[in-house]
Amino acid sequence: MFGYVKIYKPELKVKDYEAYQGVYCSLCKRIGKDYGQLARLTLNYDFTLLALARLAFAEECCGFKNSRCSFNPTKKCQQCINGEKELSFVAAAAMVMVYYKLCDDINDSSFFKGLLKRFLRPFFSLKRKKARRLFPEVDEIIGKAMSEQDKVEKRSDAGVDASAHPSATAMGKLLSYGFEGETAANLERIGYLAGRCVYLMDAYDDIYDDKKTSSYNVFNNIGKNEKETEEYAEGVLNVTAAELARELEGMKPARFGEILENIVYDGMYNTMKQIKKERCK
Amino acid sequence: MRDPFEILGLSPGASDEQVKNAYRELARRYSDAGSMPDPARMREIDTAYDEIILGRTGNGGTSYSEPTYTYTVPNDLGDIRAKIKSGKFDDAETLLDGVPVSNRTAEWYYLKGTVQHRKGWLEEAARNFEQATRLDPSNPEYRQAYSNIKSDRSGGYRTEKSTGGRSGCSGCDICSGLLCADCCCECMGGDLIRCC
Repeated sequence: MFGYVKIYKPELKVKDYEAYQGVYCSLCKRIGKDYGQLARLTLNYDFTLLALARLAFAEECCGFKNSRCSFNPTKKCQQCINGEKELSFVAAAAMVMVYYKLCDDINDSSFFKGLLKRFLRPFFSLKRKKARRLFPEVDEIIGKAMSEQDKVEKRSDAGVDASAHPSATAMGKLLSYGFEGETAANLERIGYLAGRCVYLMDAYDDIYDDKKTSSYNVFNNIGKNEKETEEYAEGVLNVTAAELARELEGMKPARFGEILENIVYDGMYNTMKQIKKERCK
Repeated sequence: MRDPFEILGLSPGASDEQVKNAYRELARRYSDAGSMPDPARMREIDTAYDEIILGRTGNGGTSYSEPTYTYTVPNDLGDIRAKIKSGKFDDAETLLDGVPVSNRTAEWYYLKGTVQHRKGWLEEAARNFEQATRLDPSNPEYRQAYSNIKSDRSGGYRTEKSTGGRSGCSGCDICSGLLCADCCCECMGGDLIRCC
C-alpha cells in the first residue's frame, strides 16, 4: 500500500527535488511535535505526496527556510513556512492510517507473526485517539474506507472499479478536506484517481504473492494466463493514470505543479517498470 | 406547487434512500424512456425531488444550474443528457438505473459509461462504451468515447506531457524565419538567399 506514488528523480529539477524533500522533512518534524519522536518512523512518501498536493492548492504561500534534521544534526534540511495547518492534517491522517493498517495486518496474520504488531498497537491507538481529537473527520473517513474495503474484498463478484472504490474515495476526501466549491470537487476527483492508482499498483505488485498465499487480489481470475493478467493490469493502470493526468492539467496549482506532473507522468510509469523488472528477476 | 412529498407519494419523514427509490419508480413510469411518458408530470416529479434533496443536503459538491429539460431532443434519454450536462451525475445515474434492461439502447450504455467515467469507475465505463459501439457502430460519439479509453490503455498519455515554458527555437522555426526574411528582402529589391 505504501510507497507506490513517488517522484522520478532523474526528470526532476534540483529546486523541485529540494522542495519535495523539504515537505518530507517538514512533515517529519510535524509528526514529531504532535505525536512524539517514535511516531516519525512511520513517515513515508505517500503522506509526503498528500501534504505536497494539499500545499499545492492551499491559499497561503508556503516558502522554505533552512534548518537542521533532528535525527541527524549534521544534515541540513528545509522547513515549510506557513504550512502548519496542512501538515498537521496530514500528520493526523498518517497516525490514523498506520493504526488501521496495523489492525488489518494483525487480523490477517497468525498470533506469532503478528506479535510485534500487537505490541505496537496500543502505542498507535493512543496516537490515533489524539489525531481523532484534532481532526475527527479523518478517523471517520479512513475508518469507513477500511471497513468498506473489507466488505468489498469478501465479495466474489466485485469488479476492479468496486474493489478500488473505498480506498479511492478516502483519498479523494482526504485531499479535498477543507477546500470549497469547484476546487474541492476537482481535488476530490484527483484524489479519487490517485487513490485508485495506489490501490491498483499495490494489487499489480502483489499479483503472484497473493496467489501463493490465497489472499484477495483484484486481478485474480482475470486473463487466461499470466501474460494476459499482467497486460490487463497494466492497461487499467494506464487508463487511470491518463485520466489523472488530464484532471491535473485542468487545475492550476499555486505551487509544486512540476513536481505533481513528474509524479503522474514519470513517477507512475517508472514504478510500473520497476515492478516488472523485479518480477523478471 | 403541491407538497413535494405528496408528489412522490411519501410521508414528510421519508429517508433519502426512500426518496431516491420513489423517484426511481416514478421515473420508470413517467420519464421519456418509461412505460407511460408524461413530460409535464415528470417535470413536477423532478422539481419535487430537487426540492427535497437540495433542501436536505444544501449544495452538494456538484455544480448545480437551472435544470434544462430539452424535450426537443428526438432521442428518449434527453432529460438524462440534460442532467449530465448540468453536472447532476448522481441523479442521471438514478434515472439510468430506472430504465428496464430490455429498454436499454446504445445511447443508454453511452450515457451510463459517461456517468461512470465521471465517478472514476473507468473499467465499467470502458465496458459500457464498448457495448454502445457494438449496438450502434455508426455513431461517432460512442466510437470516440470508446477509442479514447482504448488509446489510454497503451500508456500514450505520457507523450502528451505539456512542455509549457520550454518554447525553444526548432529547426522549423529557423527555416521558416529565413524564408520569410528572404521574401521580405526580395520585395524590397534585394535577395537574402540567392537560390530561393
